[in-house]
Amino acid sequence: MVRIIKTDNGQELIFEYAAGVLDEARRFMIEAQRQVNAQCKADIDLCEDIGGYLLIKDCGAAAMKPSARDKMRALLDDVMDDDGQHQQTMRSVSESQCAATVDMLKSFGLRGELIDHLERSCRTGGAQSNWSKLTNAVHFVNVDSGCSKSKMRLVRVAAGTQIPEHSHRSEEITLVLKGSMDDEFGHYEAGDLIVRQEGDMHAPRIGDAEDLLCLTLTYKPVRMRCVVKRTINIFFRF
Amino acid sequence: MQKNKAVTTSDAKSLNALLHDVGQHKDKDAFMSLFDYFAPRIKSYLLKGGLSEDEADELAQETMFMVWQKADSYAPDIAAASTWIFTIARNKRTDFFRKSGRAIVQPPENFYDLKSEETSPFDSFYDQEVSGDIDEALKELSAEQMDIIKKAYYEDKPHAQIAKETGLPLGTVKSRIRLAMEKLRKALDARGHVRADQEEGGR
Repeated sequence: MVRIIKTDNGQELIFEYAAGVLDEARRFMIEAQRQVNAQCKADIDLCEDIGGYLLIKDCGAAAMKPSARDKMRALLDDVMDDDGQHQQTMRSVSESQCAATVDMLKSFGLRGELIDHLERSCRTGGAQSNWSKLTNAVHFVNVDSGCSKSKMRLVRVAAGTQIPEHSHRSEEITLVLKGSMDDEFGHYEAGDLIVRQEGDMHAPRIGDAEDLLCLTLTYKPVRMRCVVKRTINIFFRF
Repeated sequence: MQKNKAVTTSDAKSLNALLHDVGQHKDKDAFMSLFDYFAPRIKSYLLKGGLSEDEADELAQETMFMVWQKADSYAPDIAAASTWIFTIARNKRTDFFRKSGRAIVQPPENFYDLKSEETSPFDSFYDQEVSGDIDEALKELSAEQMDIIKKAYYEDKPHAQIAKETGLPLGTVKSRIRLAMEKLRKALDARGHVRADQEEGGR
C-alpha cells in the first residue's frame, strides 16, 4: 500500500513540535523547515501562541516552595557579579549536543542564504561536511540529529536523476532545500516537507533545472526493489 | 538600576513590557515580578506533564533563569511574553524527559480542574498578554477539540498515544487537531491577525 501525504502530515508534526512531544531529530527537521518556509513558521507561531495562552489562561498556578524566590534572587545577584559564566553552565547538555548542527543551519540566516551556505559549507569541506559518494549522482553528508535511533543526512542529487523505485521501512522526513523533484504523488520544491510512512513506495525524479539538495531523516534504511540496485543498500546503511 | 518596580494594580506594566525591560536593562525587579507571575504557572504546567513536586519546582526555576539569560533576544512585537516563556518551559520539559529517560507519569485525574487560586496585579492585563487574537479565536473551538489540544500540550504525548489512551481512532485525533487548527487560522485571518515578522506573507 502506498500512502503519501505532503503537507498535512507536516502540519501534524508542526503541532507536535509546538506542543513539545517530538524527539530531537524530528524537532530538528521542523526547526529547519521553519527557517526555509514562511508558512511553516506562521503555523509554528500559531501553535506556540496556543501554548502561551494555555500557560497563563488555563494551566493554573502551583505555589512555588517558600525558598524559591530567595533562591532565584540570589542566583541573579550571583550571575550579575559574574556575567557570562552561568550562560555556559546552565546550558543543558542536550542543547549543546544539538547546538553544532542547529548552529550550522541557523547560521544560514534567511531562506536564500541558508541554502547557499549549506551548499558552500559542504563544498568547501571540513570534518563534518565532506560529501560522501553514494553513486555518481548521489552524495551525502551525515548530520548529527541528536537522536541515536535516527540518521540525518544532507543529500545532494544531480539534476535530472531518476531514483530507482524503493520502499520505506520506517518514517522518513525530507525537507527540500534547493531544486525540485517529482514522484507519482506530487511535485516538491524548496521549503516542502515530505513525510513518508513505513511501506510507502515511490520512484522520484529530480528536476532538470538544478541539483536537488535536501535534508533527510530516517529511522531505517530504504529498500530498493531492483536487485542490482540493492547493492546501494549496503552503502547507504542506516 | 534599582528603581522600585513594586507592582500594584494601578501601575503594573504589562508582562511584555516587563520582559522587554529585563532584556534591555537587566532589571532585576522587573524580572522578579515576572517570576512571581510565571513560575507558579510553569510549575503547574510541569506537574501536569507528570513531574514530581520537587522536579517541577526545580525546573520552573531553571526555566525562569533561562528567561533571565535570554531576555535580550525577546522582541515584544513578534511574540507575547507568554508565548516566548512557554517555548522555554516546553523545551526544558522535553530535555528533562529525554535526559531522565523516564516514561511520562499520568497526572492525577482531577488535575484539569486545578485553576489558579492566586490573584495577581497582572490579572487585569491578561487579555493584553496573549498574542494577537488567539484568545478570541480559541473560543470558537469545540470542547472536544480543546480537550485534545490540551492533552497534547500538557501531557507530552504524541498523537498516537493520545489515541490509545482516549480510545479514539488515531484518524479522529488527527482530524480533530487538524480541524481545530484550520478553524483557528480562519478565525485569526478574519481578524486580520498578523505578527510583525509575518507581514511579507508566506509561500
